Amino acid sequence: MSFLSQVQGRPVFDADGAQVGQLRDLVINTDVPYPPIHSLVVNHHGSLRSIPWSDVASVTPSGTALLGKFKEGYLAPPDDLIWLARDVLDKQIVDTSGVKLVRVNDVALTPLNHQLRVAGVDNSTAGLLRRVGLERAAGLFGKRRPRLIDWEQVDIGPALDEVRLKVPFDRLQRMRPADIADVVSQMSPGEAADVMEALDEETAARAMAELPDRHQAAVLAAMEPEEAADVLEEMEPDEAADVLGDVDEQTAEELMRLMAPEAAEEVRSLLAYPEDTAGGLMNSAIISVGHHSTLGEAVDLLREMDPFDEVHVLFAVDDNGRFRGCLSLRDLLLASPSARVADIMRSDVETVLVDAPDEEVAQKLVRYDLLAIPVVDSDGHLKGAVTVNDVLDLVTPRSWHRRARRMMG
Amino acid sequence: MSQVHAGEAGPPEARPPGRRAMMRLGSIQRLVLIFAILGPGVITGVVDDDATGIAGYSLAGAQFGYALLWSLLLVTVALVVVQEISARMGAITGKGLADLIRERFGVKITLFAMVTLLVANATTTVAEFAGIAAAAELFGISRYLVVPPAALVVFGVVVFGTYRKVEIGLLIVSLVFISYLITGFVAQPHWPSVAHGTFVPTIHLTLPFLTMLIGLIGTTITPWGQFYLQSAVVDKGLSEREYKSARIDVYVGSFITNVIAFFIIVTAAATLFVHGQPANTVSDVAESLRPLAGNFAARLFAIGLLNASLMAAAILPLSTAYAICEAFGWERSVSRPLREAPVFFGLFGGLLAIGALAVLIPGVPLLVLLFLPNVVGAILLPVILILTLKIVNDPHIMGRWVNSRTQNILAWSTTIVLLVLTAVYATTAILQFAGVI
Repeated sequence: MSFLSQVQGRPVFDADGAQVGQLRDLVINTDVPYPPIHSLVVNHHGSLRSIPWSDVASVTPSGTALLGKFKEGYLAPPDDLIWLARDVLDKQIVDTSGVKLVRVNDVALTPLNHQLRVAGVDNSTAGLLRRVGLERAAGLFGKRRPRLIDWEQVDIGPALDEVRLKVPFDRLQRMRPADIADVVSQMSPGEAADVMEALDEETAARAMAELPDRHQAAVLAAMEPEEAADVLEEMEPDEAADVLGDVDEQTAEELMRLMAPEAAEEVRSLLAYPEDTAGGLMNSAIISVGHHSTLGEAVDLLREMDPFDEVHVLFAVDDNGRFRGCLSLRDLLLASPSARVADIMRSDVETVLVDAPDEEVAQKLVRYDLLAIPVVDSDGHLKGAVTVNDVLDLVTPRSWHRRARRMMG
Repeated sequence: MSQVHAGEAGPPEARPPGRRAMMRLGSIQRLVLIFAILGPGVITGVVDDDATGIAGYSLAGAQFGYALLWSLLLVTVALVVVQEISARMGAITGKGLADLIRERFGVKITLFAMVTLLVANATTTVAEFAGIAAAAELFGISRYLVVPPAALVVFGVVVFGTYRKVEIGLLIVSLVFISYLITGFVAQPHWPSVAHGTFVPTIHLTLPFLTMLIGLIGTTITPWGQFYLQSAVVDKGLSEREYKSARIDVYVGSFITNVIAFFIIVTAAATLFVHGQPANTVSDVAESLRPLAGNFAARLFAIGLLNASLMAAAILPLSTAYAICEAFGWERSVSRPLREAPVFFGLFGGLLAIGALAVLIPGVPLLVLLFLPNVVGAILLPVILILTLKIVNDPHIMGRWVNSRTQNILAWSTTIVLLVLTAVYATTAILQFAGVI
């Protein structure tokens, strides 16, 4: 095993042992696991040339040896591939196993079947000391071997200049939304915005919902307005309203103009409620059925809407939209499809008014052991529902909240 | 956990006014936007007039009267130029200065820059606590009673407060700096002489005069200021689109810095210089206000000094810890638990402790502690400026936001002038330090 810092800047010799230049960089092709070195970038009398790996005998700390002569026909190095020293070394990348943003102090290389492959990145203090030529001093810190982060566990996306190199955020994308949020909150808003834009909208929306409030607004504001609007559309309306409530009015208005009109209208109506009331907490996107319809019709409605998230409760309303009762999924499954909603539903359900303070909402949810509580206006019209999840941070310490979400999500 | 929309539970028809209700007044919106962006530049500008600044300006006024006022016009231009670059780099790259130095120049140069930054900021932090001690003693309170609690309060506010609250707090506290304007008038300066000193440049080719001139620049344009401003811009998430408004913040901040400097020099000139009294400590300026305008003016000056020192004592260790952890990839955030960010809290707490303990050493001369940072900072500043200018002119990093020709001419001439002046200053300062004290 060798390190990038040990071979970089060392002389390059041809087969006759004559020095033909200096090793500037190693170029990889990231399509393959533990990518092999694709070519070398060599400084040949002041001009950068690309030497394909097939012409290379060995790359060691004492120097790089070529198999033959230096060919004048070697071209300028490719700009659209990843250069390890230019694009990875000293940059910040995501360690997906440790769920952390780390700085690359060195890159570990390992020879395998006549190839040199990237094994992992070194973010240890030993790596830092190696870079300043104090490798021996690392022994003073307990002779630890450098901690390597496996290459297959890192996502170098954040390090790359998005314009020059298009590498998808594959590994980051596969992390849980709560973990993505954890990593993204370690970045500056600008960097976080780049990552969010690169993720697919659904993942970005889930990660955005998990970000701490302060970061949400900053990241959203730093994103391209069109992309930000797409992510907001994917979010639950109450969560989207939460985020928009924290950004300045002008940006919020602009983003809502860019969102699909229906989604924007829903968010707008939620924004009208003060943040610390049932109206501010509730989600207006709920499943409500007419209380005269049959259970079969209710199931059909559910199927037709194909809700993406889990559904626990259906709400029954009369023709005027007044709240009548609740129906659990269990009720829906166990009773006959021809039965009427009004006969099966529980009507002695606790409700809260839209302007009820958040503590009252939380208290009722906890005391009556409810998954969700319907929110009504003073005329009894159903406006939305507050779920346990929405008030979790009111009833539990902050750290529990995150843990609980991670377990549930 | 939640449900999807079914259409029947529609949006409410009437919209009750709420805290989150949208405002539709264009001018108010714009005002709110500007106020939201005001912050990094103004805070940096105000903290620029820290204890070392007040000491420098007081001595300048005491020794040379109004003769150095003209230099503030040039310093303002230079400050605007270098701080605009910091704000622009922060807004365009979304990265701090330490981050960019590491990515552009690698470990060795980063290490050099960070060690020097640490040394410079440690000495400046000591100076801030010297300022706190001096202010306390102006009120007749022992420094032993004031300095340790001050360090604890700073630590607590930064660690347990949220950034936005801390920032708003700092902005409100900045208003105390108005006290210098008041003392400036209370001291009853001879205004025609003030005008003459401001608009007619005079240069005495004497060592003390040149030293003072360089000191004025060195205390205003600082390495930590560059790091802090850029981090604050990044932290606010300002982007290309908001950059134009962020620039206003920088201009306002630079202006405030020099207005305050102006009035401190005027105050010292109208009291100490006019009466031919020598000034050996900052306290002399405050004391000299007593016979002229009574205790009120003296106390006002002391409050200003205390405020400046406290703000800088919070910001210097914080921005140092942040820059170093950023450069080397260690966990950094005041909102992380201590065990997750040991280096960050170690550096922050350590710098505070060094600052507080150094001024508690019995018999330590506060003037030396206030004088030292100007020398150390002066040596580091050109290094940071050169690295900054290389980064800001790199199209790989800045894209189309690289310096324009005019910006480069202004920035490089600022750097070269500073380089020459600080070289002269450092030499004379070291000679003085060795010879006089």
